[in-house]
Amino acid sequence: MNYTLEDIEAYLNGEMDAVQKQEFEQQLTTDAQLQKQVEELRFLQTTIDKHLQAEQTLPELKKILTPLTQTHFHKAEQQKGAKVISMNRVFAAIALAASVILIFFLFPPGVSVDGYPVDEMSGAITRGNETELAKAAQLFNDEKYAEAEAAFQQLKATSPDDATINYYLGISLVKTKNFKESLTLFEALAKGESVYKEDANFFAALSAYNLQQNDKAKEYASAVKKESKYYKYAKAVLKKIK
Amino acid sequence: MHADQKYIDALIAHDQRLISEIYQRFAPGMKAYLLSRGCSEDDAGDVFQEALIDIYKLSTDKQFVLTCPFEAFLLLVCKRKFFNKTKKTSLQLVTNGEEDAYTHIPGDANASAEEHANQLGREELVMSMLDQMGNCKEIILKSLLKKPQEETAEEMGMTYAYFRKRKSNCMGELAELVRNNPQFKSLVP
Repeated sequence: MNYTLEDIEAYLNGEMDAVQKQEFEQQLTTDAQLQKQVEELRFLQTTIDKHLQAEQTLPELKKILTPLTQTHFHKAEQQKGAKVISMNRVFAAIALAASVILIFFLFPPGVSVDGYPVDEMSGAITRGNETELAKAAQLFNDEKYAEAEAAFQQLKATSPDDATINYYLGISLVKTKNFKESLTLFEALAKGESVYKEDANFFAALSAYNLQQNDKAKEYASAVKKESKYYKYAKAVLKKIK
Repeated sequence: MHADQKYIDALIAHDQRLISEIYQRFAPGMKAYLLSRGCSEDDAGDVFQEALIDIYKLSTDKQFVLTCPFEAFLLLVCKRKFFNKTKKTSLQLVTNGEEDAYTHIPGDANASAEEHANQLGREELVMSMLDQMGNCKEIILKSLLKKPQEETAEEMGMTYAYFRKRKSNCMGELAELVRNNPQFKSLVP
């Protein structure tokens, strides 16, 4: 028997009587074309149904997501709203910046191996958010690296493969000059597929350089790509070990 | 099922504490990654939030089972979303010299994440094709409402039999559109 789309829908919606259903299912066992049509319609129906349901509850979810996105991604706007800076302070800041630029212009510095920037860790303590991770992030952002290291070590005990924890623990270890441990962490991150893979090359190079493992330092420093913010610092490492 | 299924369940249940944990654990990394690819901070936030919403839509019927780390799945969804954004706008994509850093993901976890992301891609395509179907879209959506079909048919000024016929034809049209879509084909395992 040739079944129409209406028949297939009737089957999927449980609208066939017992005899019709039995006949349909019997043909379904041997008819590959019918199987394909049933699967296709089932997929379309469930997908549309599911997305319809989700749209109804989405506004509630957005009420949770939007402030979190604001907190974690739009720092500049938050700071703009939170701080009022007097014009005198602005002029003072401009004058200071101009002096710094002038000094740099007159006496251009070489790029220091240790002059690398460190990104702040998002998710530090805010009201109602005092998890262990938030506390560790706060210590890290406050540059209390020894305390941050201890906090990250505790977190690592329960989440040994968490790339974010390993990355910021690694930087804390570099800052406290525990290069042997930091090298192990950054080598693993550099070989992995997390978002920290690229930056990990530089920190692995820096750790190896401080341990006087020059071959390794060279290998990782050479892997830092031109587009990376750590490229010039990786170059500085390479220059030092030449 | 992966232990990170808890994050999927948290999105479905609107669990504020665990959703907050998703941001704490994964937002810094995704942000660093997206910024390194030429994304602005604002766009990175949009990409991250939209990725979570897509995952929510995918899993809202509680049938979706995560078989890889949540981070791997989220990263891939963010990557594809950002890649699509760059195609739609004049945004320049920084690829760090890699020809296609957005789809080549080796390893078991990443293969699994890719299958999840493909499923999400297939469903998004269905919804986007449905959006372009005018009157058919209305008939399909109304036919899925949780109320007697006879009532819906009457509201639309049709007999029940004609409504059913139209709905079947519309589903048939949608099935054909989906079947013949090259992007959809590329997402089928």
